[in-house]
Amino acid sequence: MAMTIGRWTRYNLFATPVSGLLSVVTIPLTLYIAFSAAHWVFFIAHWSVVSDNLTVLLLGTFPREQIWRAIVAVAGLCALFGMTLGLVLIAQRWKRYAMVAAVSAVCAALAYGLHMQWTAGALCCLAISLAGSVATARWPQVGRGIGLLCVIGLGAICALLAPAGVDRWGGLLLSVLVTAIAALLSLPLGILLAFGRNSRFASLRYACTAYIECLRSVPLVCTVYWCWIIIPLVFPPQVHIPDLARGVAGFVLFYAAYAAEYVRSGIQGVARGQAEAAQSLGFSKLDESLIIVLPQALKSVIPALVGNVLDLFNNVPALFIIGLTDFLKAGQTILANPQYSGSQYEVYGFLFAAYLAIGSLISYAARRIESKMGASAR
Amino acid sequence: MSAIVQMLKLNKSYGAFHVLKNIDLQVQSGEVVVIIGASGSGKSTLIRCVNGLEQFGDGRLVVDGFELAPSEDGFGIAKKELAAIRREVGMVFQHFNLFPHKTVLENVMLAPIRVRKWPRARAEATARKLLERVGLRDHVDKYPSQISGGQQQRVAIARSLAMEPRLMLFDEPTSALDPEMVGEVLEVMRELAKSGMTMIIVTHEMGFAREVADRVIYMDHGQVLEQGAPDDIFDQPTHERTRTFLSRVLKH
Repeated sequence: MAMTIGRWTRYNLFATPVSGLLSVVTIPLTLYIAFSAAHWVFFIAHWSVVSDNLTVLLLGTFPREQIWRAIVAVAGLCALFGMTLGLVLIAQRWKRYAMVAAVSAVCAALAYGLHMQWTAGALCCLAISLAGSVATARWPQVGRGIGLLCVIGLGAICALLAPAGVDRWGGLLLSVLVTAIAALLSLPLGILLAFGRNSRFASLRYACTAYIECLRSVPLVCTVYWCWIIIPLVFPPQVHIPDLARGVAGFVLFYAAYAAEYVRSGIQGVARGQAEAAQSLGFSKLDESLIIVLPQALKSVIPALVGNVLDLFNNVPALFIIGLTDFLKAGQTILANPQYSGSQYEVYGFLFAAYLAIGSLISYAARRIESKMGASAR
Repeated sequence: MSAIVQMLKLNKSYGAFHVLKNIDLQVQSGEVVVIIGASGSGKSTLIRCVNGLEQFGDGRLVVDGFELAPSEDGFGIAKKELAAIRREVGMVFQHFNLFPHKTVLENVMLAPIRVRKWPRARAEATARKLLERVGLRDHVDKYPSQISGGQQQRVAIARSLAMEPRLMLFDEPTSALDPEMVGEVLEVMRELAKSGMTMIIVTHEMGFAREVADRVIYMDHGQVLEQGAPDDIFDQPTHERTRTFLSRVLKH
């Protein structure tokens, strides 16, 4: 290390008078905020409100006697998440991941033995996610079928949770489920819209353009609410569509418009020569789009699409408009209880930390994808 | 011998710009035709019309017995004829246009499987044979980005040949290559010409043109100004403009 701390400080923080002035102002300010936050977290806040109500925060009003369904569902979600993340981790390190997974599993068993149920649960989630990553890193065929696996897995999870009453799903589990389902369904719809907008049939082109521009011009909350009130009008009165399905439909329709724009930019970024080569070999228009253009287009916009998923996750609280209890709303229902009415800082502090953790994980995945693709790009 | 390509009074314009003017051209089966001319003279546009990558305004074009109707804007093109022609006509591009997300082997196998509906095993056997023929046996599992430009262009040639075409079009196949890689691509094309393949080649490699061509066509401002045996065109060009062009490109 040629660069000592003193030299690093001088070059990076005090290189010019302006830089020095900014450092003098921002560093103490940041430290002050960090210290007061830490002081509050460790000495003032009473976290019992969170630990007492963790079940509500994570599962909402999910029926307690059927909680095993939720636990299995969480395990399934962790496995799917891990397998997806395994696509972007460094495959050669799979042994290391497997070791961490094994250690967390052992720790989870220990924690369970010590009656630390929540710690045990968190460690279990970590172990299952890592095991999923190892599976993908070890066997590439898992990665190739990841789309299908996610569809089947999410379908199975929904089927598993359904008997408990679809309208009683809630908390963080609901937020994650809605994000996963809406992300998975909005992508194919977005791809269709993107190709529609590039179509040589004017009617299709105008229809898709109108759809995309309309949905991008209105707030998400409106879309979710409109879907909620309009969907029952479309179906005969005896058909009951759960609120959740109506809400998810709003998210899918809304985010498909954004996904379509990303995919379209990807399609336009594919060199014209690719389509010409496909045509000169006699490919049908469908084969040309699906086998040649789409894979290249998607590859180039994956980071943007992951960003879209992060946006989706952070906007799930909009479900409050149709009366569902997502993660944020679950926190508010706790505060509605007079017993906890003074604990809003703790509850919102916990929500902040949880959103930050999950959001950071998604952005980390996006960055990994970007750097991985940067390495393999021409 | 029968004509595989027949063009009669072919015309094409980009707006006010008249790219092809009354082109009359016949290419016989087994013939190697080289088209030369300055950039912007319409050479590339002409061969891109042959497999329908470009449309033309009026005139007649018959390729391998299938007639393509004139259509300035791409409407009214008979899909069936176009598909039939593209199955029988291979094309090699200036920038190779290999599929970057597929391996070398997959690049060559893809069209026979998807378009000719060959079973995978047959397509793979053919692909391996062709890749060996163009000297790339050791690179079959690499991706296009991992091999050199000359190797990529040889893969592109193998990819076209995999469809067992009756006619091959080459659109400046060596123009985007580093000089030291031009030779290996020309060698493959030379061997192909010897094997009796019908070829239409747009190129600036005059030595190569002279060596392999049965007939050389000089194009100028969208017209076929002169055509004939290579020795006649290169040694006794009749047109002043052909002479000027040749003196400019042969000087170095």
